Amino acid sequence: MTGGAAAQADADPFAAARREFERAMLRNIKGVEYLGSPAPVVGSSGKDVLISRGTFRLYHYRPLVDEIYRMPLMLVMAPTNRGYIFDMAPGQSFVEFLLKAGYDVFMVDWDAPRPEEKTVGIADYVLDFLPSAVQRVRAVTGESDVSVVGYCAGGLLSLLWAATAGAAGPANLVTFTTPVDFRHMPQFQAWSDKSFFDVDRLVDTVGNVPSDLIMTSFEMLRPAQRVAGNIRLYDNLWDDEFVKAHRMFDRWGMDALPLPGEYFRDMTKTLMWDNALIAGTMTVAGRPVDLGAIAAPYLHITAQHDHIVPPPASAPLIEMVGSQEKNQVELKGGHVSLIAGANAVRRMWPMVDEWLGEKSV
Amino acid sequence: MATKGPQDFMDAYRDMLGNWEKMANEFGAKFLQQKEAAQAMNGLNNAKVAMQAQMKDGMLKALDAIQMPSKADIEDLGARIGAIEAAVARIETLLASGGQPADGTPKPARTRKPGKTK
Repeated sequence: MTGGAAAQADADPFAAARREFERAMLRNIKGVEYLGSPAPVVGSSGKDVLISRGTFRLYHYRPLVDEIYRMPLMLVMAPTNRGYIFDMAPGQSFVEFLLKAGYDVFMVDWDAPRPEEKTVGIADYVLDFLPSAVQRVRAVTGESDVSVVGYCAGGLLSLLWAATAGAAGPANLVTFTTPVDFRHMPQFQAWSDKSFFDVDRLVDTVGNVPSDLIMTSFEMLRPAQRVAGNIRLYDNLWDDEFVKAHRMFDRWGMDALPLPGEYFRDMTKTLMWDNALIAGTMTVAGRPVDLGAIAAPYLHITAQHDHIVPPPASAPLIEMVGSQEKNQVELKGGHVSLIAGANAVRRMWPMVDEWLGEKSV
Repeated sequence: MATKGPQDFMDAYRDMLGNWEKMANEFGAKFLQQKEAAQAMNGLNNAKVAMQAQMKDGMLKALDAIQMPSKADIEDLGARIGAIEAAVARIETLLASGGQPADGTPKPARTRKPGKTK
C-alpha cells in the first residue's frame, strides 16, 4: 500500500477496515508460505577463507570494483556471534557497501570452539589470533598498513591488541559499541555477582560455555522482546520485506556461539569483577595493557539505545585511548541496528566511509 | 506528517503492544537485576548445566565402552576434512592461476582516492 493510500485509509474508516481485511488475508496466505520456506541466505558476498584454525577464521572478500584503496581493512567480530551480521543480504550488507566503496575487506570471524579449545583465553585472541590475521592480511596485500574495525567484544580485543602491538598495530582503528567500563552494565553485573556466581565451577564443569547460556543472558536483558517480536511478525506477515528482515535478524540472534571456557573466565574475573581496564590493572599474559599507548587515528561509535553495552559503559574509551586524532560519535539505534539494518545504511556506514576513506590511501 | 485517525484500532493495538513491551522489558530487567532473582536464575542455570554435563559424560562413557565415536567426534572429523578439502582447493587454484585470485579476475589497482563513485 502506498503512503497516499495509507493516509486515505487513516482518514476513512471503511478504507481502514478494507486495508486490515486485505492484510489479514495476506497474513493467512503468507503465514503458510513462511512455515514451509527455508531460512534466508545470509553472508553471501564472495569470499576466500584464508585461515581456518579451530574457532578462528579469516576471510578475504572478493573486490567489486577495479580500483581499491591502498590500505586493507579488517573487520573483527565478537566471539559471541557470527560475523554475517556484517553481510546479511545484498543491499543490506556492510561488507558489500565497503567493497563497492573501494575497500579491500577482510574479516576475523569465529566458529564454535572445539572441546579442546576450552583453554583459549583473552591472551590467545590478543597475542595469537589477531596478530596472525594481520600478518596474513599484510602478506596477501603486500601492504604494511591495515585499518581495523571491531564490533562489541571484537572492538575490545582489537583495542587490547592495538595497545600491546606497538609499531605492529593498526594504521587506523574503529570500534562500535565496545565496552570498557563494566560497572555500567548493571544486569551482567548482577548476574555475575561474585558472592554467588562461581565462574570456576561453571567453566570447570562445562569446558566451553554453551551458546544457550549466552543467548539466554542476552534475551533476559529485554525479557519481553521475543514475545512482542513474534506478535509483530504475525502482524506484518503480509509485508515480505519485514518478514525477510525479521528472519535474518532472528536467525543471527539465535545463532550465538559457545565461548571458550578460559575466555569466559577471563572476561568475568578481569573485566566484569575487577573492571581492570578502568582500574588500570589490565594485563594480557603478564603484559600490562595501556590504552594510552594506542597512537593510531581512532573512531569510536556508540548507540544511543544500546541495551547490551549502554553508552556510559563505552564512553570512557575516547579519553583512555592515546591517539592524537580521535572522534566519538553517538548515533541513534541499538546494539545491532547500529551496524545492520535501515538506520545503519543511512547513518553509520557512510560515516565510517567518510572517516576512513581519506586515511586509506 | 499525517495524524492517525481515532478509528484505526489496529494502530491503537500496535501502540499498546509497543508500550507493553517497553514496560515489561523495564520491569523484567529490574526484577532480574535484584540479588534474589539473579541468585535464583544462577541456581537454575547451574543445575541445568550440571545435569547436561552429567548426561553428556554418561553418554560419552557409554559410547567409549562400545568403541563408537560421539557426535562431537564425527562433527570434528567432518570439519577437519572440510578444512583440508578447502585448503587443497585453494592451493590447486592458486597453482593453476599463478598467484591470481581464485575467480581468475586480475587484482584491482590499489590507487583509489576518496570521492570516487565507482
